[in-house]
Order: sequence, then C-alpha cells, then structure tokens
Amino acid sequence: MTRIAGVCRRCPPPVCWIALVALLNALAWGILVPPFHVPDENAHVAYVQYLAETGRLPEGVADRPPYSPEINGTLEALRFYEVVGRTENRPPGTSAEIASLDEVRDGTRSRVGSGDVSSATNNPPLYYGAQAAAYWASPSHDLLMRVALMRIVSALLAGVAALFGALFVRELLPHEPWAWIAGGLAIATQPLLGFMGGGVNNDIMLFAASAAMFFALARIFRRGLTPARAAGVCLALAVGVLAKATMIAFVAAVAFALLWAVARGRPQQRGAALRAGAVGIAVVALPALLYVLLSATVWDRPIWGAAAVAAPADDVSQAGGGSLREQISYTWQLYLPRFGVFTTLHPVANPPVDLWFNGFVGRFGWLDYGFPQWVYDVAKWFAAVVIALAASTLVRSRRALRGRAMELTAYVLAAGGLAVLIGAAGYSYWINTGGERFEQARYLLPLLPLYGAIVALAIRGAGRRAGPSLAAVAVVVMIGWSVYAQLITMLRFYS
Amino acid sequence: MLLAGAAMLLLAIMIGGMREEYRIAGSNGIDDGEFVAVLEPRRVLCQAGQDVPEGTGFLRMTIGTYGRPGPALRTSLQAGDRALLPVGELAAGWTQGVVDLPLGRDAPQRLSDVRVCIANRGPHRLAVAGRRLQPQVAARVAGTPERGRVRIEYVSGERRSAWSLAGSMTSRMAFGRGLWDGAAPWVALALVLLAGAGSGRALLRARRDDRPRESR
Repeated sequence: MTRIAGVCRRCPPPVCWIALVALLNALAWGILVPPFHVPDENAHVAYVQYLAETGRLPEGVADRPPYSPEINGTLEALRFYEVVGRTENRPPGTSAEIASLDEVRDGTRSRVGSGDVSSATNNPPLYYGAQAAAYWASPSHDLLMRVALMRIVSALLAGVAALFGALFVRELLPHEPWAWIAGGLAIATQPLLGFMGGGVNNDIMLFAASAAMFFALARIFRRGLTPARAAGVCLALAVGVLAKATMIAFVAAVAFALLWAVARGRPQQRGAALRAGAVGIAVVALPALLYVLLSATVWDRPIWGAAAVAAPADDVSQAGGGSLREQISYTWQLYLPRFGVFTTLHPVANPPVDLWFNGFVGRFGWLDYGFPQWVYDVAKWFAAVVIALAASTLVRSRRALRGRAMELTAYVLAAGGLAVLIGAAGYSYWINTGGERFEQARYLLPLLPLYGAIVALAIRGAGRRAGPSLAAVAVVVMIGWSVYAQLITMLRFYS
Repeated sequence: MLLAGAAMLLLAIMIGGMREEYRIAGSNGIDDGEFVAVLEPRRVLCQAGQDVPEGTGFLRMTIGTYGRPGPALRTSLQAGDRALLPVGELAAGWTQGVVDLPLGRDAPQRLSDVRVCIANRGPHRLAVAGRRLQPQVAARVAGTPERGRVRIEYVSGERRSAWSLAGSMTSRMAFGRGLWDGAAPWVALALVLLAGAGSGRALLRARRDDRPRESR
C-alpha cells in the first residue's frame, strides 16, 4: 500500500489531471449513453452476470437463446431492439413508458441463462472478473444499478489508459510540457475513448493495457532494461492478452524491444539484461500458460476463441473461397489507397477515410449515429495541419531521430501488428459471413498513445513562442469536439 | 485564451441549440425496401398496432403515384371504432417519394396500439413502401391483407429547437439509469464541466518547469 502511495506521489501532477479528465469524461459518457447502447454491451454484461452468478465462464450453446431471462426482459422493456440501429427511435423515457421496466426490475427473473453470451462468449476472463466484483458490490440486485457500477469500472480503466498515454508522451518529449500535456489531453478527451469508457466492453481494458505497454516500451528504450521495466512491459502485455486476444498484435513489438535491449547491453551488463528479459518472459508466460491450462482442462473452451475470428488463410479456405492474395488485397485496401490491380473488396468507397478517419472522429452507439458531415470535413483540415506540423518537427529533429531508430521501429511494429491482425480478422469474418463487415474505428484505440504523441509533436512544431498558444487552442478544440459528441448523443437518445 | 475558448464554445452551443426543425419522434421500425401495399382509388389502407409518440403532427411515408401528381389523402388514428384525433388532410398535387401526411391535430400524448388509416380520395392508385411480412401483421386495404407492413415515421407537429427540448430531454434521461436514476442529467453536466475545468488545470501546470526524473 505504501509503495502504491509512493508511486502515486511520483506521478507528475499534470498526468494525474489528465487521467482525472479521462475518468470524468468517461463517467459522463456512461450516464449519457442509455444502457446497452455501447457496442455489444448486452453480451459483455451477460458475460459478467454469468461469471458472477455461477463462477463459470460462458460457453457457446447452439440451440438456446443467449443471455439470462433478466437481461432479455430488461432489453425488451428498454425497447432495445427497436432503438438500436434506428436513430429515429428513442428508449422509453416517461413514467408511462417505463412501467414495463419496473416490472422487470422486481427481481423475479432468473439471472442465469444458457451460458451463451453471444459475441463475448470466447473472450478471456480478466476484464469480466474485475467487473464481477462490481456486480457483487452493488447495493441492490437491480441489473441497471449493476450496469451503472460496471460502467464506473470501465471509466476508471479509461482513466488508466489516459494516465499511461500521457506518461508515454511525456517520456518522448519531457522538456516540452505544453506539448506533452496537450498530447495527453488529446487522449483523455478523445470522444471514442470516452464513449467506450462509458460502457461495459472489454476493449477498454485492452486500451489501458496497450497504453501501459507503450509507456513501458519508451522507458526501456530511453532508460535501459531493468527487471522491473521488463516485468512492466510484459505485465502490460499479459493483462492485455487476458482482457482481449487482440493484444497478441503487440507481441512482436515487445519481443523486439526486449531482444534489442538485451543485445545492446555491454558484455558485463548482459547477464543482468538477460535476467531482466527472463523476468519479463516469466511475467507474461505464467498467466498465459495458466489460462491455457484452465481453458483446456477446467473450462473446456477454446483457448483463444475470440482470436479464432482472426483465422489464417487455410481456415478461411475451408469456409469457401478466399486466398492469401485476396487476404493481402483486403488488408491493403483497409488502410491504403486502392490500385488498379486490386478488386474492390470493401463496400465503403474509401476505407481509410470513411471507416477509420471518420470513425475515429466519431461514430457512436452501435455505429448508428455520428456528427453532421461538415464535422468530418473540417476534421480533415485539422488533421492535415496536425500531421504537417508533426512531420515538420520530425524532419527538423532527424539527427536526434537517428538515435531513436530502434524505438521507432518498435512503435511501427506495434501499429503494423495491430493493422495486420485487424485485417486478418476482418477478412476471415468477411469470408465466413458472406460479406459482413467486422472493422470499426475503436479497434485502433490501442494506438491512442501514438495519437497523443502526434498531437504533441505538432504543438512542438509550432515553436517555443507559439507552442503554448497552439496548445491552448488545441485543448479548446478537443473539449469542443468531446462536448459536441456528447450533445449529439443526448439528441439521439432523448430528444 | 482558455477562457476565451470556453466562452466561444458556450456561445456555439447556445446558437447551435436555437436552430429549429421538424424532428422525427420515432418510427414503427419497419424498413422501406420495397413497395408492399397498393392503395386503389377510394380505398382505405389501415395498419394496426402502431405506437404514436407524443407531439406527432405528421406521418412520414414513402408513397409512389406511378408518376402522376399525388391525390388528396386523409389520415386518421383509431382505437377500435373510435377516432383518436381529427382527420388530417393532404391536398392533391404532391410529388411521389417521401411524403409527410398531416394529422388533424398533434398527438397530445403517446398513443399506444392504435390503427393508422390512410384514405385515397383520388382517381388513381398508390403504392406504399415497407417490408414484406406475413398476412397476420400486414397492412390491410378494405380488410384484405397486403404483402407486408408499411413504414411510418412520426414527425413532430411543430418546429422545435434543441433548447426547447431541453426540459423533456432531462426528464427522459432520468429514467432507467440505475445508480443515476433521477439525477442523471445533472450529474452528467457536472462531470462534463469538471472535465473541462480539469483540462484547463492540466494545461496551466505546463507553466511550471516539469523536469524529467533521471532513471535510478
């Protein structure tokens, strides 16, 4: 406890403020968004409920409906299926409309269903274990009270994501407080982070873990490898993997960083570095092995079930159609301009813009509402200015960057690993479902620390005199962006 | 500069919230992918089981006229044999496509499980869009089921600004929120304001020299 208090005291005050901003923002989102209107929230709540009520992990049941009678009754009373995806409809909001909800809240419906929790069934259990504690800590058995408490846990994780994101940016630009604080605030006020932090979804623990991993990587590259730092980066990796299998996208970046750190040490230090690396491997391997063992023996469920959607090409071929060439084409078109040689594989005209950029600016709910078009158009200009300023900073600092080539390589490996994983998962899903879409902008949020770094580089690019003014303008724009997102959410659900 | 920015944000919210428009208060959740009902001249199309939101003044539907000018239409809401609102009338001469059919009066409260009826007063037939469904739930023309249910969107009877809706929005937010039942709008507002203040506080800390610690 004393050690934790000591760590908190060492946290730079601006970083604490940034984490607090992210927490408050996510709490506000958690109140503004009606229950179950964060993507797949019904499935994630059902996972928590099943785990908390039975002590067992969910399992797929083909011939029985998913979720407990209590959750299904609540979804019906909230007219969830009439509202989700139909922006013209609103959840019940008057005492007359809410009467059926009161009937469900009397607690007579079973809280244990078939054990099938739909899309969340095969997820690893760490996030849900934490949420199960909130479930049981609830002062009442009311499901909506429990969902509200679970959303607070998610908001705390959003705060953790912003905390580590800010620490990462500070590690990159320690002598530029205006820049790194604005970069940290960019993360804390990002509307999609707030929206996801306001709901029950294991993505938010993944974002927190990936932010911690980026911070730990920066520490290793800039301060050297110690057992504590190796353990830190591997602990972040382990937590992320046990929260959502997507975290395996970062294994290559972490392995690269550890190998580089061990190799660059002087011969007399190599033993210590190797020991540090071994500590790191043990930290990530032990919980992973335990999870694999329990999955295979006690729980009898797929080990990386959620990752199975990211099936490689041979699996895809069995499902009918699909080839490695097409998989590469599919992934390329997700992120980069299409060439003439590629067959069009995506329904949107320009996936890098329509899917990723506009999605990052803001698509909310179950992707059923967003900003007016002019916001996305204006955002492109803002993004162009930010990227140009950041690029100019990098060009001017190219001499210093040469010494950071390995560190940059690790970040590129992390971003590339995630991009490839999303592409593989998306392609597999596309083939297996006969053309349905898998990708959503929130899948890129594990890279939020890099987004914060780009904003910070842009502020730095404005120079010493203009930097503080630009930082203030940037923070006002970011707050406006966040508040506008919250206002359209109110209009979507309550007007 | 931060204070000026905050003031500009508030001003933008004030002005943006004053824009008035007809708002869609809800729909019957039916897609309108195809024409599923044909309404012959002098016939009435009725669809039961509709929930009409409070304040609805128009029914928005997709109606085809086979290229002719639209005929006069009458719209009524019924419960059993009883008319719930005065009959609304749309004069002849409208263009096919998405059409707003006026009710005789704005719905004074939510009307549950009502029958919506549209009477074709003209000499030509019409086609109405919706989704193909089984005859038991399909729209009916002169008592005979059509191919499916028609889509209806409920449009407010008067132009409303976001500010004029603020009262009902805060009231609607207060329901079904678990821990935040009754207090949700005010807690959310406080959190948003605190987050804004916290952002300013974080940025102002940059004025202090924030030297990095050396590794140990």
